[in-house]
Amino acid sequence: MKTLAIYLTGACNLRCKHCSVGFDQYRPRQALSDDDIIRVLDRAREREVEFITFLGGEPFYSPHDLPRIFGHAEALGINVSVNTNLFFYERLEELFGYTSLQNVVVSVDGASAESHDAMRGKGSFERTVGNLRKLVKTRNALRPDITIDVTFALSDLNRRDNLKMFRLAEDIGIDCLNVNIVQPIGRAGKFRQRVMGDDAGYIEALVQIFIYFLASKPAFKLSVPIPPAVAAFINQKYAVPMEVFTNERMCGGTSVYTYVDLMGNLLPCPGLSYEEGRNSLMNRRQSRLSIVDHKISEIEESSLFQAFETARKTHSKNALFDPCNRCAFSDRCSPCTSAYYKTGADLEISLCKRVSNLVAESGEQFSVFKQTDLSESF
Amino acid sequence: MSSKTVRKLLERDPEFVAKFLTGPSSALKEYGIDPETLPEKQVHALEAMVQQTQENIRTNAKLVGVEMAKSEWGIGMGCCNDVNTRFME
Repeated sequence: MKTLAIYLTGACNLRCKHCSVGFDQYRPRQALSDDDIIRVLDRAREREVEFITFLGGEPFYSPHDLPRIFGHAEALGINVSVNTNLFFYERLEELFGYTSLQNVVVSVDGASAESHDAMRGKGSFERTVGNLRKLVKTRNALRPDITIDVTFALSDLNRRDNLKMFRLAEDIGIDCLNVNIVQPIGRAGKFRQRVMGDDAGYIEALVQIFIYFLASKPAFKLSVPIPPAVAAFINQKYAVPMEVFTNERMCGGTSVYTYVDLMGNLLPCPGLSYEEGRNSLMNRRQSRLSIVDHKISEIEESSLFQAFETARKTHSKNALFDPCNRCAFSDRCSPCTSAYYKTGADLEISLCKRVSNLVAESGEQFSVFKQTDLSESF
Repeated sequence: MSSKTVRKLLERDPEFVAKFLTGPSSALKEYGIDPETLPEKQVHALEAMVQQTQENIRTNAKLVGVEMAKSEWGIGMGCCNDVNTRFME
C-alpha cells in the first residue's frame, strides 16, 4: 500500500454539479479530530505508507489545524498531497514551510468561466484560476519540489473546453493534467442529464484529448483512467494508438491505496464509504475497521479487505456485471471493484457502458463486447 | 480554403488535428470549408493527409512514456489507479 487517502471533511464551500460526495455538503457530518488524524498518520508510518492524500469536501474549508498535521507528517517523513478548489489560498500558503507538502491537486473544470462556473458555481473560475497562477508562481520561487496537478472532470457541461484545457494548463505551467470521468453518483446522479450528456459526444471529446496530447506533445503529464475495452474501441474506430493510455489495473484499492472515511473506518476504497454510496452501515465507526483503534495491518486481515482483494485480483466478479460480462478483456481487467458491492441501477462502469451503447447502436463490428445473442463473436 | 491550407493546419494546429480525425466534415465546416463542394482531387488529397496525420500520431505515441499508478499519489481525484503519460524527449 503506497497511499492512504483521508477524507478530511465533508464540508465544502462549493456545490459542484458533478460532486460524488455532494450530499455531505448540505449537512456536514462530524469529521475526525486533529488528534485522530495524528493517530492515523502514526498508523500510516507504522505500515510504511509512503504518501497521504487529503480529500474532501474542501480540506481548507475545515477547522482542522493543518500546520500541526503537516508538521507531524514531516516529522514522520510522510509526503502529503492535498486536493482543493483553491478558494482559500492563504491556508495553503501557511503550509509551504512544511516539506511534507509535496503535491497540490486543483480542480479546474473548464478553460473559461462559462464552462467551469456551470459546474462549480458563479465566480469560481476567476478565484480558482487566479489563485492557481499565484500558486505556481510561489511554488517556482520557494518550493520547486512541489508538483501541481489540475483535475478536469469531463462532463457534458464542459466537454467543448476539452482542448482549451491543454492551452490553459500549458499557460499556467502545471505538472499534470488529470482528466476524470464523471460518474452518475452523488450530485452527478441528481444532475445526471446535464452532466452525463450523450454517449457519442462524450466519447468524441475524450478521443480528441488523446489526439491533441499526441499531436501537441505538451510538457506536462496526462492522466486519464481508461479501461482496455474503451481503449480498444477508440483504437478501432479512430485509429488512435491507445497502448500508452490503457490501464488494465484500474482498481488500485488495497494495493496502491486505501481510504479513511469520516468515521475513521479504513476501507479498501472510497466507493464503499457512506459519503459515496450512502450505505447506512458506513455512517458509523465499525469496530473491526477503525483505524483509530487498530493497526492497518490488522484491518487488512478483515473479511472486507480479503474479499475485496480477491475480487480485484481474480476478476471473479466481472462476470456479474454488464458490460464486463460481455467484455473481451474481462479476464484481465480490474475495473471498479467497489461497484460490485453496490446495488442500484446507477452503479455501473460508466465509460465502458457508454462504449457498449455506442457499439450496439453502430451496428459495426468492434472486437470489444460480445452481443447478447452471441451471434457476433470477437 | 485549399487543401494546402488544410495540410498546414494538420501540421501546426493540434486542435484542428483532434477535430479533423474525429469528425472530418464538421472540422472542415468549422474552418470554413464545405466538404460537399470539394473537387474529387482535393478529396483524395485530404484522404492522403489523414493517413499521414495518423502516421505522425503513431510516431509521436512511441515517444510517450508511461508511469503506472499515479505512482506517487495513488488515488488522484478519479478514485482509480490512473496511468500517467508524458513525452520523454
